[in-house]
Amino acid sequence: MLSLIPAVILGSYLYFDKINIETNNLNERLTSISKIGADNVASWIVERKNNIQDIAKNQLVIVETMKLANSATESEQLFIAKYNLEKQFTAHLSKYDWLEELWITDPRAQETVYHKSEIISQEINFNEIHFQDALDGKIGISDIHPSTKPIRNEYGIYEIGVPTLLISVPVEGEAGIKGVLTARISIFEIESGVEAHTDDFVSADTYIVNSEGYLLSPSAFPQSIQHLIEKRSELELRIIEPDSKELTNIFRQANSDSSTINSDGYSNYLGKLVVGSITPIEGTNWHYVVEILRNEAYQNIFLVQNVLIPSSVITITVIILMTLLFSNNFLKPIKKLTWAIENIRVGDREAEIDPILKKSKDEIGKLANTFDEMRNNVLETEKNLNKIVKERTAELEEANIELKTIDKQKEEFTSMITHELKTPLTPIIGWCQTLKKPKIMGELTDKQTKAINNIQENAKRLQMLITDLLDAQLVDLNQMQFYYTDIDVTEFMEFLCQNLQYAMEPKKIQFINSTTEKNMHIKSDRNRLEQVLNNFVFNAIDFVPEGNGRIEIKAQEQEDESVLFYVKDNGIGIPKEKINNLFQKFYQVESGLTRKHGGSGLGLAISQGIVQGLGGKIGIKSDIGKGSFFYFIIPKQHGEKQ
Amino acid sequence: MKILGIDDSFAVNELLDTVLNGSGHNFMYVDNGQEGLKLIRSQKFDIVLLDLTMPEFSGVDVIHALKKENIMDKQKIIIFTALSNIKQEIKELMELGVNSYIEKPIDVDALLEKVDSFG
Repeated sequence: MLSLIPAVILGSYLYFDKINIETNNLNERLTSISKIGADNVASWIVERKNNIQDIAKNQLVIVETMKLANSATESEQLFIAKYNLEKQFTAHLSKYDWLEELWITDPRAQETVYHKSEIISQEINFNEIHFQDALDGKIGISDIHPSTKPIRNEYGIYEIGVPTLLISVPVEGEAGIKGVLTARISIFEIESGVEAHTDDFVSADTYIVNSEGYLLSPSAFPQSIQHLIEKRSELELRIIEPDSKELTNIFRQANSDSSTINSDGYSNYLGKLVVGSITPIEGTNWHYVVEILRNEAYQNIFLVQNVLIPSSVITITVIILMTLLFSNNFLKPIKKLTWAIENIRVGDREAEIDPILKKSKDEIGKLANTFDEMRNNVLETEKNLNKIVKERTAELEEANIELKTIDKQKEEFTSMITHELKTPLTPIIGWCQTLKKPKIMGELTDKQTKAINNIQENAKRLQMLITDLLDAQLVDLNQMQFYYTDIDVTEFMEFLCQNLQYAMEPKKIQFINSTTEKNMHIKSDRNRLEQVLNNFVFNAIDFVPEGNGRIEIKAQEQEDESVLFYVKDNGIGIPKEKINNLFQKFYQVESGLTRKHGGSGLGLAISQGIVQGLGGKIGIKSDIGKGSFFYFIIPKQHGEKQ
Repeated sequence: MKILGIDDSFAVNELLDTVLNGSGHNFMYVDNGQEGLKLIRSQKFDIVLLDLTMPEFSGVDVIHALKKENIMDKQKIIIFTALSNIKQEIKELMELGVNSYIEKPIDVDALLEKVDSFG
């Protein structure tokens, strides 16, 4: 409900803002139209004034003739002069088709000397302002003059009472103003000479009024003056008077302001409600008016007023009513239901739903019943699930125990197998050794010695394989035991170097111990260290070239209480992409039938297990063709469970 | 030297018999722990070669019995084992008074060397 308040505020703001914008926009457009119209009329009149002035320039001779006419009685001479003038004027009239009448007046005689027209339209009033202006040397322009002679109306038909405009200009001689030339122009000529801009307004009317608000543009409202035309007597003016005080006041105000005024609604000549803009026409006492129907002017605003606002009010009312209806008939039951659901959510599965809710026959009632059913299903499923979970858990526990047993059995089996495999090796290898002792067994033939050596060698290989398998399994099970003793690393490396020297002989490998540090003591498993280094060295032996092979071993104390051991060779090297695989069990750089180098393939995997068991890390760096660098780093003090 | 071998493997016993007696020692053997223990109690041996893994009465049982009867020091004891991952156990046995151990398969030359070192 509260959320409606900002909407109403926003709506109102938008509404009033919209009205302001629309009003400003409308006034600007109307002002523009009436200004353009007024300017056009003014410049049209200026143009006509100039034309009439041009005519006046050549009329001195007429004035002279007038003098003649005034001084003498009508004679042959005067007749000829009149004839000539008539010809001249006819020429002008045909040149300027907007000209209705043209005459010259003698100001001193105060009488019309000559006029070009078949009919004298009216008595010339010498006191009129435009005539007096001309006598003062200015161009005089009359207010509206209903023509007393028939002139062309908007349909080209000759008609009496048509509004006309008189323009008077002085005819100047050497000694001042000699006469006044007056021209009559029909209002229809003015209207047709001025293009009316109406922008995009559909209902726009443009017209000219005089200072008293008399409509000078009958064509603006042809339908309204039709009845006037029919009713009026022959000489009645075809000029429509403003029929309301409102209208009169508006034009009077425009006249006194002498600038554009906008009116936000008045009844026009047809009695229709319009919005208008009125601009005085320069050089006249007239006004140019543009007006449009108020309905069109404010159609956007009317849309807001008549459609949007009522519909908004209805919508808001409906929302309020719906909300009230909802809260009573819908929200309250839903709250109850939600409370029941919440109870079940937090674990109170037994929480009952309000029986009144369930009795209700509407959608809420259905929902409550469905939910209750669902709750019962959930309860049942939960019970079943619990039962199943218990059963499965029991099964899993059983399986787990079984697995542990199997694990244990597997471990025992491996131990037993290795034990059983090793046991027969003792007599095999032992007898081979013994057979080669002549003091005990007597002399052997060369063939016998060769055979025994062969047996012994293969038995040894079998022994190593069994040891590797066992170690690999221990690494796998993470059960490798270590026997920590104090090791003099310098001595250990020297011992190792001498111990392995025999293995270098077949390939004549240069074998160097580069350990320089003395008194380097660590606590570790000597046998296992030896195993790893042996593994490294035997690997190296396999891969160095015969004759110029070189293997270097070294132990080097590190800054962080650890020792680096490495075996460096100048062998064939290991491709980078294969280095990571080296620590996998049974991995050989060369595999399948291409294998040239022997071994169980477990050595590096076991070495890694040993080094990790000793708390260190193992690694290989290698460049193809340049050799390999096998290393491990172990802490000086590790293990020895406290 | 008078040497007693206690091992359930006939082949091993036969080998040791040949090697040790052939090398000038006085070697005899039994194939179970109980008998071995009886012999140790009743006779004086320089060295006892004892296999750890035997059925019923193992080498470990023999050692515990010797320790219990306080006759550990009567002779040098070298233990054999085919089990390789029992360093902790071996360490404990050494602390009980075992003098040395040889991993199986037995290297005959290494054994002779070790025996001679106790001479």
